Amino acid sequence: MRTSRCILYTAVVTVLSLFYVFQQTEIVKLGYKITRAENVLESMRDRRTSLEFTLTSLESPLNLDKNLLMNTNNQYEMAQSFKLVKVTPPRAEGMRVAVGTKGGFAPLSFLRRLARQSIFAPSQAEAKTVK
Amino acid sequence: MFLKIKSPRIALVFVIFLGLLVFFFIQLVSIHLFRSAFLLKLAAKQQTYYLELEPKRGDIFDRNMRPMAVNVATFSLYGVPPQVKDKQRAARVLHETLGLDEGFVMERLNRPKQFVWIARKLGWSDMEKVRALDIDGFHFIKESKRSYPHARMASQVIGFAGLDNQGLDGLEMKFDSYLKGTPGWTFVLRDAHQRDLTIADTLQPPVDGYSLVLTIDEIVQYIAEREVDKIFQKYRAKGAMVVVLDVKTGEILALVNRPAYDLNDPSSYPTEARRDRVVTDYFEPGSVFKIVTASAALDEGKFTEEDKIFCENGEYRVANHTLHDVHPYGSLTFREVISQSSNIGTTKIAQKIGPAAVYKYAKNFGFGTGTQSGLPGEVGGVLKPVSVWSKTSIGAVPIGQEVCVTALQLAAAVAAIANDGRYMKPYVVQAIVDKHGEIIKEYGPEEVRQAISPETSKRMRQILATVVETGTGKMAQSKLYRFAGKTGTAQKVEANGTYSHSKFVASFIGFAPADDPEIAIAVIVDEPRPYYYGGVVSAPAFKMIAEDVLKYRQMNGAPVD
Repeated sequence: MRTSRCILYTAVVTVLSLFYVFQQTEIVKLGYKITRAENVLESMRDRRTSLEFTLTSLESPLNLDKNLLMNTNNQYEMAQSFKLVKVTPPRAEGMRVAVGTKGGFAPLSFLRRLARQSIFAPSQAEAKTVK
Repeated sequence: MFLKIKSPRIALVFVIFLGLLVFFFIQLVSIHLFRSAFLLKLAAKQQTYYLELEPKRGDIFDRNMRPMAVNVATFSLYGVPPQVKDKQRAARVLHETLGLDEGFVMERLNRPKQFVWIARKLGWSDMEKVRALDIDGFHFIKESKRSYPHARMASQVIGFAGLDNQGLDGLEMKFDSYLKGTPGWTFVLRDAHQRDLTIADTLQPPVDGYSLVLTIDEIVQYIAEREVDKIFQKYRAKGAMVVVLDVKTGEILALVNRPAYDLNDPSSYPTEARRDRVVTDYFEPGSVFKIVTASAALDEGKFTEEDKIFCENGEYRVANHTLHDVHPYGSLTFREVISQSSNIGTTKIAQKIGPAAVYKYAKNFGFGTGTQSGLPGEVGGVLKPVSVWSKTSIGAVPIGQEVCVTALQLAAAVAAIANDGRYMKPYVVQAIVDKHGEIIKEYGPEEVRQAISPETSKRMRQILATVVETGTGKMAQSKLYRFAGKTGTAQKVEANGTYSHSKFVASFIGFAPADDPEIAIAVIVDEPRPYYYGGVVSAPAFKMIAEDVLKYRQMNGAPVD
């Protein structure tokens, strides 16, 4: 009786000890996984920042002027307000508005559009009034 | 005794084991009681390391939250020379991939060191190219680099940060304490293979720097820079400055200096190009200062627009100094004196109202003291108190001589005339925000004083509109809008103290539209050639800037159809 109880206690202690060791090993394994995932996340964040910087540089009015307008010998000209028809963009419900365009007019989009028109469709620059 | 050991051999073995047991027991007790602190410290040192966590430097945005200064991750390549098996091949491959000099790489790899820098702050694509080569003994360290997407746009205003991300110039330096943030720290657990293990808790996270939101508008800045570049090149000028202000708030919408420099590569430009001339350089303004004399005369009630002033047919003596007009005039009305920019007529006006009034209104318009715009290096200019005026000063100060001003002071003064006489403090930073966009500190419009009465302001606006319509500023005329302003052509002072006949400062200050002003603009060109009149050199640039900025602002506020 005494021997069997002793064996039982020993078995329980052994199982608990093994579970503790297993748990610690898993924690370490997860630690490695988390570290790897964090590195990937950080790398992707860095990549995003780098791409955002490139995008902002390309969208810079100076860059648009230099690369798009000057190359085609076009002179950038700010359109007069009466020549502009502003149309509310179709927007799905819940769609977010980009930062900086909440006021309605997006100057950089305007510049891009203007550049595109100057290069690809110069004859479609202006609408005429129909009597 | 419980045991009776008969065999002496067994007894010996028993004694040996017993002795070992006692030895280990004593060792255990000794370690636990006397050496535990030391050993724990040693283990911690081997298994964990201290890591300083770099905070993210705050960004700088324009008024529409378009980034003007951001942080970009870069990668610095270093080598561990003992690990590099074929140094010759490594040098050749790096030359082919990054364009590095083979000799330079070899020299670095032959150093008896465990760590040598090969290339600092490489871009993402370069890093990927080198990684793909999979050369033994080369590794990367990530470093943050301050980057400026608009390169030289508003370069002197923004300034730049150095390799260690510390602000060295412009707003980067002035607001460095807000932008830089606070570093954090952590202990990282590592295993026998020196692999990091994310188990240890971060003990002190870094606090990212705050961001600046400027009053500058990227598009207005672009328009101003484009026009300044044209005149800067066309007239082969030594320097050029433009300030665009919102007359009602004092917000600086654009601030341009030429020559400029690329913020991403400041070391390639002379230090002269880094100077924010708009606030650091003062000069004799010449005829643009006549707006002060005219405003004083009207505000004091000593003159009306139609009062006649005899302009002495182009020559007039004040003490031992003879004044001249560019074109000789007989009698001119007060309005014509300003629109034709008669030095003699203006001096006669000043003589009637007295030096004290000229000085008082010059102070009211903010001359002689800094504008407190918050831009680093701002100077207050020179405005001598009446007590130290010489006998000839009354023929000099009212026409913009013996007085020194900055371009920003001129813009703020003409903005006061446009804003019903209210002098607004010009400012360039409108808010400091945290990374979530919460405002930490806000700067708003600040009325400093009533420089002149609203009635005088209204009358001055009409007189300055006449300058553009029939006077010296005709080249600022627009088919689309009515503009108002004042031309100025100031002789520069030579090293020997005499006025130069070959070096001039051509200026035009004004506002638009004339009847309901929105923006004030100062265009200053230093030493233009061959033409040097403000009405010829600066006025057309004013017109172009004002027209496009007004169109842009109208588009911004146009209703959606």
